[in-house]
Amino acid sequence: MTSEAQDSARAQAIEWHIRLRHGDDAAWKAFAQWLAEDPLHAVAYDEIEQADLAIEPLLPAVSFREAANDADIETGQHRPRWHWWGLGGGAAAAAVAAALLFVPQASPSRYEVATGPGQRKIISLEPGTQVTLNGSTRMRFDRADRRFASLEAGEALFQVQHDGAKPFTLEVGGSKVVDVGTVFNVVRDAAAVRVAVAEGKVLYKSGRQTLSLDAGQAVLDSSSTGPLRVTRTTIGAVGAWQRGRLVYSGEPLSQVATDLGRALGMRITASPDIADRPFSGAIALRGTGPDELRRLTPALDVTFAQNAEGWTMTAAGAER
Amino acid sequence: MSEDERDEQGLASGGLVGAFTAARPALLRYLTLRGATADEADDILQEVHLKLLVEKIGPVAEQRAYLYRMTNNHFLGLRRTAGRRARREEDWVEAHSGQEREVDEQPSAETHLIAREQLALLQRVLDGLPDRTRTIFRRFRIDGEPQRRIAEDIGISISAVEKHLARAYEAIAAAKFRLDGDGGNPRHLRIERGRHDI
Repeated sequence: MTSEAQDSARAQAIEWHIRLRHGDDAAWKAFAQWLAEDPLHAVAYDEIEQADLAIEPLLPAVSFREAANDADIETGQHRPRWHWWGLGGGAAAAAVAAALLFVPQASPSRYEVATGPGQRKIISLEPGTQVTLNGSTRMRFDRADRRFASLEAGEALFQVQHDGAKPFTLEVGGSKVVDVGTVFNVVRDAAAVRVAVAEGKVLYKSGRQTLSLDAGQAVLDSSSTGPLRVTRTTIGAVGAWQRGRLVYSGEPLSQVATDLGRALGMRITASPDIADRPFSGAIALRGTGPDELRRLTPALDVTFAQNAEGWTMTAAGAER
Repeated sequence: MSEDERDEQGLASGGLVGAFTAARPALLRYLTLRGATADEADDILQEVHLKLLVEKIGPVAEQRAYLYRMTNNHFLGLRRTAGRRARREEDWVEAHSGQEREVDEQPSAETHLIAREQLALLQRVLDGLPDRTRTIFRRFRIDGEPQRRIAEDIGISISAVEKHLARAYEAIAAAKFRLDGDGGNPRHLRIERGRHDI
């Protein structure tokens, strides 16, 4: 067994390992064929698979240093470290995170908190102020300034203690939400920012406009130009996801799909023909994964189909 | 089994049960190639089959891929359990042969130390990667984004994304070898235990 052959087997094993993560039927078939070609291949594949498994519990505690011109343009500050605190791996990760406390760190005051698909996390910033992160959400906080937060992606519910001298400020892309003592929910996805207020009052400052939102009001700031749209929202519906409920009154199915995806930890998109169809009603989430989608199918009057990118919501009866 | 029964079962898990029956020989071959014994392979496939019957898994597009992945997960689970059992027996022998040894029910200070070392090592490996490679690796491995989406987003080809990922995995695999080589498996096994038993 030459080491050259080993190196080549390892390189190929790595390629396979990468490809199989989202591999289709053909990829797996070809992979089995590759394994059969040479016993060395199975050995090489074991090694890379085990290495990847071994880093699994460590990943939540690792800091990803940012690429200079990637992902962090908004802050405009030099933050050499980007802390990634996931919840994956459960208790094992907690053990590693505990170990992390002993690791000396260059400590920049800003840090990132992230949840994986379907996970939740509550961050207590100071007494009376807490942020609940929904699944697939990335936020940034500042150890030196507990009245600051930034929503990079996803959804979070804010319960904020009012301090007239120091209002709580949330950055969402180029916009800011400034509280005046309140409970509010913010969603940031690729297409838009949505802010809904359950209690108190917030100021929403986009590059174009500043709005004052009272309890029961919501604003939709879509990336396309156009004036901000203020709508009514049911106070009980704001942040209802925290209690496993999604409440709608005429919101488009595209939004329902995104919300469901975040709650269930799946990538769900509405097909174009039904994306704008309005939906009204309350969805109580009980389970997770494809089972839960099946259960919701009649209520939503849609069908779900899986593809390489995740799940697509289509009109009922249009599929199979 | 009558046609009706088969249909019912097929519907119950989006046709996966039928697909499983068709794919069984291929899955068995796969497990054998991965190094499972005939008995182990049978057990694994039985578990998978049972899971498909019990859990109503929604419609799945790439059924074979899904079944392969499921089979592979069960294979890894079995391996982990087997490894753990072997280690427990080893511990038992040590404990009863009068050798001093910590009780490892709780993560010990040593486990923490090893976790810290491993973490520091992984941190070094990742810090040593070019920025773009590291970002791509994060998006792929932690965020779970498919290569195609990362490629479109950054504006490079899929094969370029794969090259970045391969580079990251090379570095990770290399670090792991060093860890195994420097005096011993017991350290490595200890953290494995911490990881799975808690």
